[in-house]
Amino acid sequence: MSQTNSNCPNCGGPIVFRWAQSVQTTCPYCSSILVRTDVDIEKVGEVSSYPADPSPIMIGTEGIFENKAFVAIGRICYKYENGGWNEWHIVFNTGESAWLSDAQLQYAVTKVTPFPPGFDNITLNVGTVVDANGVFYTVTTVTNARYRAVEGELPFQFWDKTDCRFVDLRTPDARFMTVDFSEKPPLLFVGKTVTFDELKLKNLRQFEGW
Amino acid sequence: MAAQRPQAKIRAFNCPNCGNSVQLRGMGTSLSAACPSCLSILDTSDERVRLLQRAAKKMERFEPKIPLGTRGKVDGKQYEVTGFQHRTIMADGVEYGWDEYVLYNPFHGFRYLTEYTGHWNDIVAVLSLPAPSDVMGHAAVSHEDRKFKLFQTSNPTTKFVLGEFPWRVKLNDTVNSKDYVDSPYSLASETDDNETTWSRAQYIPGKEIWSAFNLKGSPPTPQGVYSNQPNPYGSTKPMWAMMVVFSILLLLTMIVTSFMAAGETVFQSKYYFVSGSGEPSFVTPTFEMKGGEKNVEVEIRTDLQNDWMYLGLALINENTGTAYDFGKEISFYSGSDSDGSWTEGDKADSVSIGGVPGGKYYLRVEPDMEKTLGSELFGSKRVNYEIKVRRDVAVIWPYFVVWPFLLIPPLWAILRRYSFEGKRWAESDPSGNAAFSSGEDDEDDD
Repeated sequence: MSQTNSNCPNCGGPIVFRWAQSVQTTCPYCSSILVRTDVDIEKVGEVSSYPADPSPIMIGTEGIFENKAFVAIGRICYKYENGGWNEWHIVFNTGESAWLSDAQLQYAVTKVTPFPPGFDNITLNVGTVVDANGVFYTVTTVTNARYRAVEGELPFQFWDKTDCRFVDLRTPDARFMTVDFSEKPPLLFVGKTVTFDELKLKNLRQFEGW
Repeated sequence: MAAQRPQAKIRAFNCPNCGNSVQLRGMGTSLSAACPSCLSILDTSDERVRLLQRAAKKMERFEPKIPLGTRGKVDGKQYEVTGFQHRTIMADGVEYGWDEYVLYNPFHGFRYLTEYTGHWNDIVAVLSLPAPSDVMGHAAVSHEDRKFKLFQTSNPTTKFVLGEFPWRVKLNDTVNSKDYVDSPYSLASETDDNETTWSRAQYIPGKEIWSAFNLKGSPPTPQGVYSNQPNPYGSTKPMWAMMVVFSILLLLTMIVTSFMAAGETVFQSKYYFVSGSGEPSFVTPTFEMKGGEKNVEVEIRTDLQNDWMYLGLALINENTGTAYDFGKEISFYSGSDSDGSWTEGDKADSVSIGGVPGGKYYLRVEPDMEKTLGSELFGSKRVNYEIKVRRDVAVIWPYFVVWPFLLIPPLWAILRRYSFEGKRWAESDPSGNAAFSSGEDDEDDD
């Protein structure tokens, strides 16, 4: 993994990019949100606080998905009516990046995927069934979430969001997709739900008494 | 030093209602919790704890059988009991209540245990989506190669809570629930205003819970039959296999004993009898019957035609004088009428005597026939007959009498199995009608 080093424009602390395509990161010293430009790093905001979230994953956590090793290098924290969740930005040893979501310790791995044909005209409500290239997905949840915090490296700029609408779709064989309406046009993430054991995670967070 | 993700800690605060201290062990997963002192329900989703619901002054208390904070291994993973709720449903005007335990592991997440009258279930969330199906016209769902039949539609209501929950728990909150059964598993869907969630339960014996959580005493004895309780009578296949094995053994025994039987002819002689010709009785020469107690078959063949004869017989031991008295009537008629030719009776017959000891024997024979008017006028009737004595003859009929009894155990097993299933489904309420019934009418509409 290629690493590029520079310094935080706010506090001068060393900033390391572990993934060449990262566009944004946070300063681990002063929590400034930093965006990489062609020549420099620019401070665009600040993370006020991180929620007391229960995820056992942290930046540097390693795991395996579909026989490929990955490491978590960043995350977006969301909050909604029924709790919060993390989208961990993971990069594989092949250079690809994906998202490992942890919603109340229920895990799923997804990747940004182009919308299948005919998808854009459908209104997605709970119970709506959509045909994605021959696989039938059913909308199970529509979530109106709020952006809560970002940490570490992300593949795009993400720091000034407020309300984000997500639609989750599932299949009988554990396939999973999320439509993220916070972007224009919306983004589609496709993957599957996974168990903690399947991911073979290492370098996890510590829990008092566990 | 760069900011590290801090170690997650047990959170403690004071109840905004009563001021007593509350501890949260859910490491940030808990959206709500009950104050252990005043039983008020608190919103713990944020840094600022808020009072959601004050507990009623007079509330029925339910004690968890597994105390909060207890840790135990389920499915090979360590879990801590962090929450407890008592929920009820109404059926036929009667309230039925059960207990639910929230089990937490900071890595593997949540699972749940339920207990209803001694019946325990281990429950995990289902993340794939069960597909609608049917079992012989009965509503069902399919999930991971199993089909679950709709068992019950109900509206569980939360009546009492302790500890903390990864959702917003509220007293008297009601959800719509559907239970589908394929013992020892069941699938349940719970629908509220926003979404439908699925979970899968597996029936688990109380004693496994007791040993997993190292609980004192013994688990409550299960009452009645629970919806996904495994049928204790299992498959009837082993019973049928046993029956087949015993049938083969019986057949082999029959074949072997038939082959072993000597079937030796020890005496054979031809006689004739003319009715009304003086003293008819006579004795045969003695014959030897070897070995211990064995059966004897006396076979009689005649040339009777439209007539009958009676043979009074006695098998007498020459040395001891022991006599086996028996008799045989033989008759044979034939003719023809508008339906064609017919026959009745048989010209030959045999008599079996069991357990005759070895030794020297002779037969005393006393033939008898009807004296007719014709015989007076046209001379007496004459019948030729033969007596044959065989020793140690193979007997197979008892095998055919015994064989049907081999069917009893498997048929009994089937009966037991289906009677258990009958009890299981007698409690079923697929449409949820019982929930709205007053109790006057306790018939299921299945």
